[in-house]
Amino acid sequence: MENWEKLSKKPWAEVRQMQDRKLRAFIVNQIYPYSPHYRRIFQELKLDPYKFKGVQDLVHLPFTYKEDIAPTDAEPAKHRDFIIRPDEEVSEKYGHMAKLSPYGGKQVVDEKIYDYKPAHIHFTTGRTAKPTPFVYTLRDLETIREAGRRLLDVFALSEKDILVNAFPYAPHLAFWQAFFAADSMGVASLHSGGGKVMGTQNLMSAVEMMKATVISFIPGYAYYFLRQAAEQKRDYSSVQKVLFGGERVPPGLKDKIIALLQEMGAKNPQVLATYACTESRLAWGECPSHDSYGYHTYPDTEIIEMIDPATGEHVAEGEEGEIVYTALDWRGSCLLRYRTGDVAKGGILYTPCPNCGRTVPRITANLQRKSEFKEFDLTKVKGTLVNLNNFFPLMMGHPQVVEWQVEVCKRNNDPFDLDEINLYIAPAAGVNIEELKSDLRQKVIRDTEVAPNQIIFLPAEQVLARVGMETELKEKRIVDNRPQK
Amino acid sequence: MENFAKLCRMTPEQIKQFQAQQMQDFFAGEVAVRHPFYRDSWRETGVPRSAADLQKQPFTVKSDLLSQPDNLESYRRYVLEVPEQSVSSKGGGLFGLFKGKSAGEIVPKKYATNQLLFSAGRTGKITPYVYSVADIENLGDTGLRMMEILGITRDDTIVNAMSYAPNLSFWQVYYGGLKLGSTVLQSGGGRILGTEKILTAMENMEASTLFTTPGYAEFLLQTAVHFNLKFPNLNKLIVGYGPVPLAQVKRLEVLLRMVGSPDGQVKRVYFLNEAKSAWAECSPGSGYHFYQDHAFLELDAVPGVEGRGELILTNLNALGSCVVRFRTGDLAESITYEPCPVCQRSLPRVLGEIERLDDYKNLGGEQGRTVNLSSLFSVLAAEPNLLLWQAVLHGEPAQLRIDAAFLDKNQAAELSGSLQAKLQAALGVTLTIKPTSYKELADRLGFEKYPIEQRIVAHSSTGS
Repeated sequence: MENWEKLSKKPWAEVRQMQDRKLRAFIVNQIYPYSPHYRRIFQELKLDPYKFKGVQDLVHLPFTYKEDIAPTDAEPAKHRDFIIRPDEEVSEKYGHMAKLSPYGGKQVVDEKIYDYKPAHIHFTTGRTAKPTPFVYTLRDLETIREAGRRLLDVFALSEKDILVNAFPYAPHLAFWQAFFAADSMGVASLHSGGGKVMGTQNLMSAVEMMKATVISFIPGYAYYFLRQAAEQKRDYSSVQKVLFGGERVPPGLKDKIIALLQEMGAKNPQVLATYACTESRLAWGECPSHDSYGYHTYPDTEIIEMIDPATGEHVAEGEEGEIVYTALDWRGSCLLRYRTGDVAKGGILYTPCPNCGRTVPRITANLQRKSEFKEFDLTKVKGTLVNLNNFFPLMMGHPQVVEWQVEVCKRNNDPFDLDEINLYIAPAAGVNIEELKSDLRQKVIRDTEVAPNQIIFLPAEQVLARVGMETELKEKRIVDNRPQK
Repeated sequence: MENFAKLCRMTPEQIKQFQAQQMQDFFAGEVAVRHPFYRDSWRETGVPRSAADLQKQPFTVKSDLLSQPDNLESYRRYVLEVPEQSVSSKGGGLFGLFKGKSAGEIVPKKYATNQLLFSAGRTGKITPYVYSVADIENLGDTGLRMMEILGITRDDTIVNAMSYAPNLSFWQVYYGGLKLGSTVLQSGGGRILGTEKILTAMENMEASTLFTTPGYAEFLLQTAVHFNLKFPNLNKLIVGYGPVPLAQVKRLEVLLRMVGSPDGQVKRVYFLNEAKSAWAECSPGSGYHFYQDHAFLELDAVPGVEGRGELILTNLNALGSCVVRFRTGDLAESITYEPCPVCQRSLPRVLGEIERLDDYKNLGGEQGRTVNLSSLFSVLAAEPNLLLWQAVLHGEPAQLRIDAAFLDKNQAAELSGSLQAKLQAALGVTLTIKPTSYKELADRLGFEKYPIEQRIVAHSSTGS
């Protein structure tokens, strides 16, 4: 990997040249010879890998979609075709000879094992397809460690910070990226595994015990956790930064979190978000500021394209587009032109960050997930498209909503009847329920263009039980309870 | 840490000399200088210089390590202080000319805190335990030693199904696997990934090695047998972080055969959070091999407990949290410095089944007697017709009931009778047996809910 301090100061034109050079080498030396899937693609399309000049030639390759990788009952090992692996037949035939070679044969074997042998595995969460494994080699673990160090550098953390990692434990990226980041920078940490593992009370005490300066959370759990801590009048004066990952961060939620931290004695706390997907195998973060200047990417480990989701054509700098990810110089599971399904409203920016001055490409922070546009039969005219993303900023940021859940179901539980949308709301103390109901109804219509059928007010504990706080890996904010036709 | 091969060749006399030297160096060079509690206490009594001196020291107990409610940072009394930076990091003085700007930083990184692990134990009170950078490096080294003793190599594919918690069992396997360079799935155990996904992963990865707790191992393999899943590659099942009597090792070996692993071996590991390393057996019953450069163990007699003593731990190279003469609450038969008769390594070993002192309970009130509930594990593991069990202490004075799920439900009444007679003879108290469904017991034991199953409970939600 490049030197981060130098890389983040290089002019964009130079960075692009570096990407061209690295991509050429990566395709010729790793992807074409050792990736079964992409080798097949090159052969089917009669593409000559040696004529690949750089990033501009990526358009000759087809996109890779989640369904290309995710295991199915018919093909449970599809993901293996995306792993960079030197030909197994050759390894078996000549491997023992290499070991016996008096000219550093054992060292060569050790290097190959470092480069190519899977050592660590993450899984996708499996919400839209079966959980898909992504493997890291020992070399990749060095890459994710360095990415973690860069992430904390962007967040302006130092080895004097103390981290409580409250991401739920799972073989998923969020927990492990925080672990590798802290380990790499030398930040003293508690990798708690989240409330489900340690219990929220124990975790609250741990923040006080350690005088943590940084806490990393899934946004929904953060609000629940800090609300409880504030009710118990905990001393969180040491906390300076809250890092979010795993989900989008609605702007209103940041303000709620900051207010809670200030109530517990924190001075000028900041809430910072990360963006990642399992397929990208590392996370990017935004630099500290009240306004967001986007997620700072690492141009020596990936190429980010921004495309029109409908046509697949590139969009201009700063224009809304779907994020397409290409791995650069990784080993293990490597994807080219992967359609993330995430739409960046402000696209990608190549200008230096006005806040921190780093010159790396930035993905703008307002992200939406394409898969959360769902088709509903809300009227006799079937097939209304509803953007469920819009519930998150509305509910998370609403000052009078403490907890919430959206339920999609069928009228009379009849699979052939109309769809209904119900809101379950735990209101803040002392709120006028009728006024809140009317306010929510208006805002839901404004933001989603549909009217909720029912707004049901419940105590916070009941809504928390519905969303599975502390029992689920990710809380269930939007549930689709429609029976199958 | 010392060269492992060298440690494995020492004679018992050399081990004792080595440990005496290690104690002198570590106590005088680190503990007496940087340990807030022992530094103060040794000011009056002097720094212990030998095993004989050590025996005059008072014990440290678990409650000493807990944070006080009015001072949550009080756990730091048992954490070595990080040395002050006495030379400015900006300059570097004369050394700076030769070694660059970092020469001015004389604070050795090894003392800095890397991670806090917590032991919740059975008390439910979390005890923070600080691992310094050096401790984490040692965790990798001891992990590699553990793998070597267990016969695991880089070619093995490992599923780490130790329940995730910020404690030793998960992280020892993680760092050992990483150092070894094996392919490892860090599943987090049943309560994180769920049994179905773990079984699928084991099948897809063609896993050769599984690390988990003994109770969960049994549940996982029983589930595999039920669904007729086969794991022909699974040749090492490593269990620990819970009592594993030899009878249960045999039981797990039978289950391995049933899932298609004819040569599968079951081996045991002893995880002791405060030791900052796990100790493995090279073969079941050979004794837990520990490391003379890392820990010093004593065995202290406990009134009312025959043939066993409580293990007393002294850390010999810990730079974060550090304890001297710590009462572990774990019982063992003896400690030997003789070479292992199976693997020939001359590492010191803890012999006998590890049992918990907490499991010695008084049943039947004043006229009753103290019963070792740990012995239930070995007696019940030898019952081929028993699938699952839970011991329930109920009533006042406490009485014992065993809720049992039998292989053949139709024979439950008959099997209950014979089991009751057998247990009463073994424990010397009257007890009852309640046939219970497998599903209910699996739920109550909480294989997918708790870090370790609820084998002995004080009250039952199902009543008595």
